[in-house]
Amino acid sequence: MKSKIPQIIILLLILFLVFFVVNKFFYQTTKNAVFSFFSPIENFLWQKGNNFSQWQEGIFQTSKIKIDNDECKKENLFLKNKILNFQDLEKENKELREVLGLGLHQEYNLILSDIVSQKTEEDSILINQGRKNGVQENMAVITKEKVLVGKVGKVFDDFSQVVLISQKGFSFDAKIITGENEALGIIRGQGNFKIKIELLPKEIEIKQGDIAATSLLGGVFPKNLLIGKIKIMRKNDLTPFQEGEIEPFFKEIKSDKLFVIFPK
Amino acid sequence: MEGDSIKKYLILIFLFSFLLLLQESFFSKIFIFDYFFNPFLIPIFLLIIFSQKNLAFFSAFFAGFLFDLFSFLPFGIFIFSLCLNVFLTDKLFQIFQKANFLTPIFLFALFLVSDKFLLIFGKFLFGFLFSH
Repeated sequence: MKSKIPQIIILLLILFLVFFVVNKFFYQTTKNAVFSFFSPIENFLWQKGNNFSQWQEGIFQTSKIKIDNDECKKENLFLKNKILNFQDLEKENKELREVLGLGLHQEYNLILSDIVSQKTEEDSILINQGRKNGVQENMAVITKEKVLVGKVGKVFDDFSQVVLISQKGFSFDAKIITGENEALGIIRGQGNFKIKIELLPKEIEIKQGDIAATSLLGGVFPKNLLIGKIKIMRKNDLTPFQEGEIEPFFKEIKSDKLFVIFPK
Repeated sequence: MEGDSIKKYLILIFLFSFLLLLQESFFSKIFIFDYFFNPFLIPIFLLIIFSQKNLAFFSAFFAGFLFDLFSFLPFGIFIFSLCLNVFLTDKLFQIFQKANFLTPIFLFALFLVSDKFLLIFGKFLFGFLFSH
């Protein structure tokens, strides 16, 4: 019986040659064509998936929903109280902004985009704006509630990859808001939609539910974009720092609209 | 007989195309015990268990091809990792198939775990060879 090994080796070499040619010369055009062709179907299924996951949460996470609801009610009362205090500040701020001509839409350009699909293996999202619409690599991507989603990775003609902040290896500076104080740290993506914050000073008391937001330090993202809330905190006796796991807000995105932002 | 064969391959093509579209959009929002639901590995594994080696390889190749088309990673990673996974699992199944009824469960767990490891290895290899 003839050995099949030489045939297998030749087949593997041909396959790798094909991979090389596609990756070096046809990557951009192939991907753009595939995304263009399938995006209407993917968009439709993404929206259906959104509805289904909301229904699923209602069935399988009833107790969590009840706990979240009680916490929201308490937080609501606390925030209403804060709103009353801030109303005077807001009035003053509005007048100052009118005078100085500042505002988010004046500081940044915004590109509205739709989510086409999610690549769960890669902690990435595909959006329907690309090079032709002015999107470039490393632009920040947020929701309308100013929740940080990630940054633009690969850009094609009509589509772009959004690398989520939970992607393994993704890191940037952030702060935890603890009442009147702030603690600076570094957010690191853990993959599978998980993120943690490290290098927080041990002496600052950080508790579950504290909010994480972007800081201007490092210059990766604009400041004060919402990231998530603290899930668990851990202190290590051997180091002068503490670290924690964060429940990212982008996981709760129900809308399929995102904004790509970049400074003017 | 040849017609039956072609029919089986066509059924697999439709099945994996449908599963992929569901996974890319619909199932990507569904998490079970905090992990996303990945349905396409199940039919591939079943083909190995029922000794349909050629169909398993074809399924791995075609599913990998579809994933590569939709992925942001270098083209060929999923074809490489899935085909290699099927090859290794098939070899293990041939060694252990006469063990007992727990063997398929054990092999399926190993199949899922090796899928992750081979993907990581593929990212490293393809990133080194074909970075663009």
